[in-house]
Amino acid sequence: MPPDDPASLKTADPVPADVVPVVSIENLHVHYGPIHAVRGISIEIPPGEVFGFIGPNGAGKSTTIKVLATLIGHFTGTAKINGIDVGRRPQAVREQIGYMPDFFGVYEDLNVREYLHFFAAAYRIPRKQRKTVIGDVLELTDLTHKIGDQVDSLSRGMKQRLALARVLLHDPQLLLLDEPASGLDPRARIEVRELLKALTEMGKTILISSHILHELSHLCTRIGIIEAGEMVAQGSLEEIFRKLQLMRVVHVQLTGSDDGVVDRIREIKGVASVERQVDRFAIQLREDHTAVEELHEALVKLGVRIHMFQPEAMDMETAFMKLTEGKTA
Amino acid sequence: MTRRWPQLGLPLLTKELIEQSAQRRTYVIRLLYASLLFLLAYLEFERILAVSGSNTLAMLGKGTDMFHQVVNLQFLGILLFLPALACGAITAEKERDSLTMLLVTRLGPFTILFEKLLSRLVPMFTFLLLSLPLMAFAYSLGGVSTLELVSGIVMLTTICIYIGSLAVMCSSWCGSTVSAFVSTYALGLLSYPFLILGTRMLMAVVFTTMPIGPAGAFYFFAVAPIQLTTDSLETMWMQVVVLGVPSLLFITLGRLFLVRRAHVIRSNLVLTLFRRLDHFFFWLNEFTTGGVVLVRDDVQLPDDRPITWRETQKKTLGTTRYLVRVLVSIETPLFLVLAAVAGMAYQARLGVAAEALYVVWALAVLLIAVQATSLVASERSHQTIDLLLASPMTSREIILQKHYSVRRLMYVLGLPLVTIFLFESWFAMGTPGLEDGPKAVLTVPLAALASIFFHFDYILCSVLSVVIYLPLCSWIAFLIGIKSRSQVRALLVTLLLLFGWAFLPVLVFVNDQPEVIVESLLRSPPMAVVACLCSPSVIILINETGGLNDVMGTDDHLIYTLINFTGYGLGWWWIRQWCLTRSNRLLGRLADDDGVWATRQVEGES
Repeated sequence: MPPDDPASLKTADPVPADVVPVVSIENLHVHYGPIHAVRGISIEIPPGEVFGFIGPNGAGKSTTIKVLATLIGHFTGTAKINGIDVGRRPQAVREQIGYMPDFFGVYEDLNVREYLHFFAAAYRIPRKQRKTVIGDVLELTDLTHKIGDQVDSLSRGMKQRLALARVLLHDPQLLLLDEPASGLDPRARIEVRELLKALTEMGKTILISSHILHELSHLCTRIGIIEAGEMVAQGSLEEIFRKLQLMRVVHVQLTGSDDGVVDRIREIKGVASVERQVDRFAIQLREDHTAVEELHEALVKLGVRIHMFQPEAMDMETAFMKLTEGKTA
Repeated sequence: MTRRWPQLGLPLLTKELIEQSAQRRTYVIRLLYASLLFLLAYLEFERILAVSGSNTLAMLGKGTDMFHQVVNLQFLGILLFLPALACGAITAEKERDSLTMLLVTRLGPFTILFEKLLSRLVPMFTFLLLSLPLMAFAYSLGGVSTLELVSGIVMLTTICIYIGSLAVMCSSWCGSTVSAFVSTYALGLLSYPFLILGTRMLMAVVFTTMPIGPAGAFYFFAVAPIQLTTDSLETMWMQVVVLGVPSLLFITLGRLFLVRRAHVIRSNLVLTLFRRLDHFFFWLNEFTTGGVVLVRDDVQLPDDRPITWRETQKKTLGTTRYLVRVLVSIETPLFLVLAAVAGMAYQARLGVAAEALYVVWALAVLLIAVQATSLVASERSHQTIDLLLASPMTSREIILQKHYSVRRLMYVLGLPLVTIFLFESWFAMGTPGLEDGPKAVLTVPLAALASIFFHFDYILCSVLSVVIYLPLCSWIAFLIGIKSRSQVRALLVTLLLLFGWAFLPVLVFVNDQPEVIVESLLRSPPMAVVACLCSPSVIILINETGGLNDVMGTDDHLIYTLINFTGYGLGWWWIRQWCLTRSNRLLGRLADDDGVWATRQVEGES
């Protein structure tokens, strides 16, 4: 069922007036020759938030991040980092950001120590502090034991962690991470995710792009779905689900006799359907009517013995498919 | 089961030709080639016909010279353009990781190689077609036999196939286009003696027409331009066989390498060579001294200039150790050759020194072009440029720090050039000190230094040429490198531009002696000024002839060189300033009026 007001999905709740947003983009347009890559995107990210940028390849995610990283000169609209205009004072913006591109640029002739010292010098960290800072970021990224290894010899996951160590060298407030989990094996992906959680706890504001929807649902406080250069939805996952009138699936295993139990569950307020599967029931729940906790209560009141009660994570894929049409810019 | 009939189709060739036709550079190169060919042919034709004056009858029979010049020019064009066109045939697929996709199609390795070769030969053949009107004009003037005309066309075609096969084989073997490009020229030079040997064997065994003595030695030049046209059918076929057999061998080897080296890891040829030399010297040191190390080769961590640090501590042509090796490997043979010719006749020793100078100039320009074009292009190809651009370093800082390594290379390459200038100055003095026999060891260097005062204008102009031309070349190469999408394209464009710029004026006067050129320039001062400004090589030529001999007076010499150096010095300064002031735009990042000011403002606000 389509949302009542699709336009309401494109804008998020405004950041409170007394808070200066770390990222503020307003009506951003970027052209590559005849291609209109970004079409009027507006975002505000308050401090400490993890904003997930979701979209298919070619949607304009990397371009938007590159604008914030001061790497694209030809754009219209306003982009600000901590209130500093990216277009007018890019040099000041560079001090505030840590940018990790969607590829890992390799200096094959450097080892990990030299690589980090190289960028520490590039970020003008005083020479006396460099050793301590590098020690800290290596510890955070669990790469201390690799300090003497050639960068080229590291696994892809380690390279990504090294890239995160690099962006943390000058302790930026905002991290711009373009597809950080792309091409990683499951273990490396989990390691990167845990590292990002640790950074969130440190109070960093993160703008992260990905086309792996499951990744972001575990990490982001808000998401923005972009397609063909346009923002089709933004807000917290719950908000988007509510606005899209999507349902959460709850998996339930019951013990004992289940005669007529399906019909009784269907009668619970907010339950849209109940599907009997091999070892469980899959209940589709309208969360705007009934919360997950209320469903649990209702099941207990029915007198059934619950062996397993497992609400599925928000089905971001459904939201994504519902909001996008597979267009590119 | 339905029988699959063989289908005649060349899908890869079709795709390659469609791609080429969609690229702007195809038309730019074709226009450039045609312009150069017709310009040079026009100059040659005019020179040949000038002898006849207004007598039209005297022009008859002059077609032979014209025809030979056209064939020679086309041969030169093949040597210059075809390796550049063909060496990327397979390596480009490897660099794009698309070769595997081709190998799993129904196209066999041989078909892939053959179609790739054809796709590079077709544009070259269209270049050859450009000379048909010129050949027709030469033929109409008489003096060219039909067999000679056919042999010229056949030989040019065969040489195209030979060089194309060699380049495609190198492309199959190598991991990068630059390596394939260098390998094609290196193998081309190495294979030359074998071609001669093949020619001799054929002449001796098949045709039994092998001349003996000096005449036999003459056939060492069987594939040189002078043998490109012949009125002997036997000679023509013999040369076709001599070039055709290795072409088949190259294609066969290329087919083998195509599969076996499809996933070869890219390696830096110079770095590999230097590392092998390292191993050899370490072994030698261990063997001779037991491993005594006088100076430890410690790598420091970066200070406040990280890019300079990496360029000078980590790059092949940037480190002090390798720069010293480059210097020693150029300076030692140079010194030995110049010392060996010191006792020769006046003109002979100066001639050898001048030739050595041209070789060292060419080498210096080549090395500087390679180094300068790769500064930013390599960052782009390694996808590291965005990391630097997102850092707070200003674009001006990035460029200057990058360029520092080229400056060090220029210092190193300038030394052999100064060595030659000193030798030439000493040679021009009559090699004083040499007559002292064993004492010469002490007196010659003093005499060489004293000669500076006697040929001060020559030394000054020569040293100025090094001080101005090398940085000029480096900034031109850097500018092309920064504006190009790929390192290979940047290098090829730079080399074509610099060598075209340097050699074109020399090619125009190819049949004249340097002294004659200088004299003719002096007879017409406006022409001299234009010539002085049209190419850096002209002033080097003037220096080498007018500076030491009495062809030009000191005043004339100084005036013309001053005009040249002022023009080119200003050019160098302008290009450098242009690169620095437009550094943000050239590097592709947002500009800030004053980065330091902006940073302070932020600190103030916080």
